[in-house]
Parts: sequence; structure tokens; C-alpha cells
Amino acid sequence: MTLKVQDLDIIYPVDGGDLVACQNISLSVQPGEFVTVIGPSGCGKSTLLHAMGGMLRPTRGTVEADGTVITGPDPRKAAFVFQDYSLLPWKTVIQNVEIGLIFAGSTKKDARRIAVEKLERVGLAGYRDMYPRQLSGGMQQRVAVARALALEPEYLLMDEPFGALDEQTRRALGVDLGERLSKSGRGVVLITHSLEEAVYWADRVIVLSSRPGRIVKEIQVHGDRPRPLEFMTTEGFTEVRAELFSLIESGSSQEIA
Amino acid sequence: MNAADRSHHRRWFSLSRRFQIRLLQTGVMALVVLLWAGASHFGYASPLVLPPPTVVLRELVGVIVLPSVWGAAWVTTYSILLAFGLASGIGTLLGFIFSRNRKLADGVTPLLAWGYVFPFALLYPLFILWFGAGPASKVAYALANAVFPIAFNTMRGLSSIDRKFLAIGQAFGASRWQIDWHIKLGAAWPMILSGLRIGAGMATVTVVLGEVLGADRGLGHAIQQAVNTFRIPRSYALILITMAVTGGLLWGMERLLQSNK
Ligand SMILES: Nc1ncnc2c1ncn2[C@@H]1O[C@H](COP(=O)(O)OP(=O)(O)OP(=O)(O)O)[C@@H](O)[C@H]1O
Ligand SMILES: [Mg+2]
Repeated sequence: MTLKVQDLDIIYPVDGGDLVACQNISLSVQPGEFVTVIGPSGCGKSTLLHAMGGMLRPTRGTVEADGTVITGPDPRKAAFVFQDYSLLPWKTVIQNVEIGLIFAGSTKKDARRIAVEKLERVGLAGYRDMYPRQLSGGMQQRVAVARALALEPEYLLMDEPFGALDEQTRRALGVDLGERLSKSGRGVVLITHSLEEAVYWADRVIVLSSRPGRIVKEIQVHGDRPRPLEFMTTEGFTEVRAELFSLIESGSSQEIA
Repeated sequence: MNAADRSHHRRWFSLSRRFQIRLLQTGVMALVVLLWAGASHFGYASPLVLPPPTVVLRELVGVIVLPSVWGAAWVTTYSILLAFGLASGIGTLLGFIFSRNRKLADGVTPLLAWGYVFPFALLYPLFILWFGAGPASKVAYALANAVFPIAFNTMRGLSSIDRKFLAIGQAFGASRWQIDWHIKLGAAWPMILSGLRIGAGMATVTVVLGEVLGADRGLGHAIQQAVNTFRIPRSYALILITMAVTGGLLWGMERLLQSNK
């Protein structure tokens, strides 16, 4: 399935006029491709991702999956991993992972079986009956990934999934998940504030301008996935990182927060 | 000190802490009884108004075996449970319905808030008129008192849900009912629970109050009768029984609510 965004504008009506969050954005993501989106805070990254997942109606333009216009969320096509580990605190880990399957009408037994399998995949099989608050931030985010994977989506839409984690956890989890997702052959759209993360994860980096968010540049990143952590020391990586750095520093007077 | 020692130490400490609290509670109770005994013994209170503990205790032993007292306790018990059950059902249902529509919610909020604090005791004579002197008027009166906090809290809880949780429901394809059941109920549960707790307390207090104000049955009625016929020790014995019954019921309802997560 190809995910295609065409001539997208998103305007929020606010007091005192319109707020243009995304302007004239066109891009497409191929099956199995990893695309990262980077840009200044408040430039419309989350808005774009939400539109790609059918959570928002575009003001103008379309989002298509293999030529069919997306009108609402379909977690089997594109499943979300939100920022700030958005698990349901009153449900156990396993119940959180099951939830998409339950919503889709799976039987309890099937949902449980698949959820257990996905939890194993993210290395948290032993935590199934705990509550999210009993887990560390990194573990909670892995649960959120397992929840998204339970529906076997063709794409994973991740909104700064590691934003709230410390540097060390962030890298470790990034390498670990990057490897698993590369092997599963799913496409990924990942939003990030981190230059390193943007390059490490990407087959292609998309740079947005400050608000209204427009595409400033698309940069191809070469190198097979899964990538070892040492990828960050290669020349290819450093070059792209430097280019991104200058783009973002010059492209907007705003700091990347 | 190794880990086993430390945990042992902590356990011992927490046990002793619980023990200390128990000791304090027993101490306070003993003090009250002592003051009571002292007041009647040294003549600060007329034995007609406040009979000494020994007399009340003797009366209690005599009264507790009477079938009429058991009957009254049963009437009070089922009135409270019925009122609380109805208030829970009706209150949560109303709260749920109101929460479904923003305008409706805003419209009924003042009414619910007002019903929350309205002194229904003023209407008690009318309740007797409408429902008779039997338990029905007590149940209706307690229901009126208990239903408002339950409906109010349910509505508030269900209509102030973190958008983050609703977004999860939307993103993972929940239907409207699935959002209600899996997302909203879970998110609002602490608030609904606090409404139910207030409702349980309200139902308990107002049933007994109603029985004292005017009834033909129940523990409150028995207390009222004992006072009216100047059987003061008996009225104190009945008050103790009422405290035990209502305390037991509140404890039971609390256990039920806690297990219902
Ligand atoms: N529901 C909404 N109503 C009105 N304005 C909104 C809404 N959601 C976002 N905005 C505004 O749209 C702009 C883009 O928001 P968005 O969340 O997409 O930015 P972002 O790039 O994800 O920012 P960050 O990096 O801080 O997460 C911001 O100015 C924001 O205030
Ligand atoms: Mg964002």
C-alpha cells in the first residue's frame, strides 16, 4: 500500500481568524519505507501525521491509500504511536495491547493470543498483568508499539515516540525497534525533534518550515536497514546530519525545541 | 544491615504502626465511655437524660434479642440498600444521558448542583403524604437525596475526559459504544465512584433520619418511640444498634464499590 498526500492544506479555525498549520504538502510513502519528518516546534508535524492517519479532515487536498481517499482512521492500514505513552492507565498492559483488536471485533481469545505474541516481540511478555504506571517510560512506549502492531498495520505513524525519554533509553529503544520494524517490512512515518533520530531512522527525511508547515526539502538517506548504532559514525550519516542542521538553522530563526 | 533484615524491620514497624492506631482508637472510645460514666456517676447529667453505660449495656443485652428489634433493623437495612441501589442505577443513567450532549449537560448542571444541596427534609411531610408512613416514603426521600450527587458526578466525570484518551479510541477504530465502555467509563470511574460513595452515605443517613422524622417501622422509628415513652436507656441501646447496622452497611457498600473496578 502506498500512502499518498496530495496538495494538503490544514487550517484550524481559531478566534481571530484562521491558523494555517500545513500548507501545500505533497508526499508519498512507499510500502516498507521509513520516512522521518523534522521541523520547528508548532510547525504542523503532528497535524500532518494526524491527517495521514485519517484523524483529521484536510481543509484542502487528499490523503490516499493506494488511490482510495482516507476519510477516517483505519488502524489496519496505519496505526498510531502517540507521544507521551498514551496508554489507558486503568487497563493492564495486555488489555492495552488488545484494545485495537477488541474494537475491531476480535474474540477475547484471539485478541489475547495476538497481544501476548506482540508483547513477546517487544520483550515485555513478563509484564502483561501490570498497570502502565508500574512500567518505565521506555517500557510504556514499547507497549504502545505492541498495541499498534497488534493490528498488523501496513504503516506505523509515530509522533515523537521517544521524545520523553532520556538519551540513553532513546537510542537503545530506537535501535531495537528500528531493527524489529525493518524486519517486519512495515512502513514507518516518524516525527522527531532529534537530528540524529531523523537521520538514523530514515530512508528519506522530510524537512518542514516553521508555521505554516511547508516541505522545505526531502533528503535521501542511504544505507541498509536494520542499522547498527555505529551507523551514526558513518560518513553518510554525518553528511546528512550536517545538511539538516544548516537547513533548520537557516530555514527558521526559531530554535528546534 | 542486609535486605532481609531491613524488610523485616519495616514489617515490624508497619505492624506496630497499625497497632498504635488501633490503640489510639480504642483509647478515644474508652475516653468517651469514661466521660459518659463519669458524667452520670458524679451527677453532671441526670440519669433520666443520660443513663450510665452499665444501664445502657444491660438494656442493650435485653433489647438485642427482641424479634421486633431485628424486624426494625431489617426494615432499615433494606430501605437503605433499596434507596442506594435505585439512586445508583438512576443517577448513573441520568449522568450518562446528560453527558451525551453538551447543551443538555450545561442545561441541567444548575439543576443537579441545586439538587445536591437542597434540604429535602423540608419536603419530608409531602413524601409521607405521597408515599405513606411505611418504608416507601423513606426510600423515596433517601433516593431524592442520594441521586443528585451520583448523577452530578457521573455527568461531570463522563464529560470531562482527557482528549488524549478519546484520541486513542478514535485512532484504534472504537465505535461510539466502545468509546463509552472502554474509554469513558474507565477514565470517569474515579469520579463516578466518589459520587457513589457520597450517595451511599446520603442514603444511609437520610433513611434513618426519615424514620426518626416520621415512620411506622424501622430503627429510627423505634428510637423515636423509646424517647416518646421515656424509655431513655432503651433509646440509647437502639442508637447503638443503629450505629452498628449503618456502620456495617456503609462498610459493605464501600467493599462492593472497591471490588467493582
Ligand atoms: N485542534 C487545534 N485547534 C487549533 N489550533 C491547533 C490545533 N491543533 C494544533 N493547532 C495549532 O497548529 C499548529 C501546529 O500544531 P502541531 O501540533 O501540528 O505542531 P507540531 O509541529 O506537532 O508541534 P510540536 O513539535 O510542538 O509537537 C500550532 O500552532 C498549534 O497551536
Ligand atoms: Mg507535535
